[in-house]
Amino acid sequence: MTLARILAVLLAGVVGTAVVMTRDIVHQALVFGLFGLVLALVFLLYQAPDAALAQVVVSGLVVPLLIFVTLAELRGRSE
Amino acid sequence: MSAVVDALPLLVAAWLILAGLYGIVATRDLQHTVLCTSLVHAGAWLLLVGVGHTEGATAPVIDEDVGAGAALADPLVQALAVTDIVVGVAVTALLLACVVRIKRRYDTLDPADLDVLRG
Repeated sequence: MTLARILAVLLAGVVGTAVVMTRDIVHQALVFGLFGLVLALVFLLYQAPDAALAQVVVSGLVVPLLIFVTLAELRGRSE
Repeated sequence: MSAVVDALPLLVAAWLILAGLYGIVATRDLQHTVLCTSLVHAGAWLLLVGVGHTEGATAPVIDEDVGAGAALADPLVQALAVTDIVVGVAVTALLLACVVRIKRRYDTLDPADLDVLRG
């Protein structure tokens, strides 16, 4: 259990760094969704199931969707 | 060993906040700025949950299997984390709406191009 915690937290750090390093906005939205799911796993392992539930819905679905809606709005406008 | 494990989520939270701040400073794309702001926010959530957890504690959900005297993770900071997660969506949506408005008015996503005065 402790090992799983250590690995999950370190993975969250690595994927979070990948969010900053990714340049393309579509890829970045997807990597951010992945980061949110990893963070939800971390919350679950750190005994916060309610935070994990909220995190899965929010970062796994809503935030990438918001980014894509923004992108569609901007691209539809400029073309 | 145990002290390191206890401090690890706090260290990773600090790392996430620093990486997000670097992204905010270094980027030339406002959408990237919004996502990096979200990353800083995520660091705060990890900090909250990491502070509330102690070794051997179970989730603060009481039922027949968990006795009244069992060690529980701090439910207060977890409630704060849930609130903060929901607020984070609203902040992200508001910032993205601002990005759309900026793109329409100034036709750029580069914050360095936003220093022109318009009468």
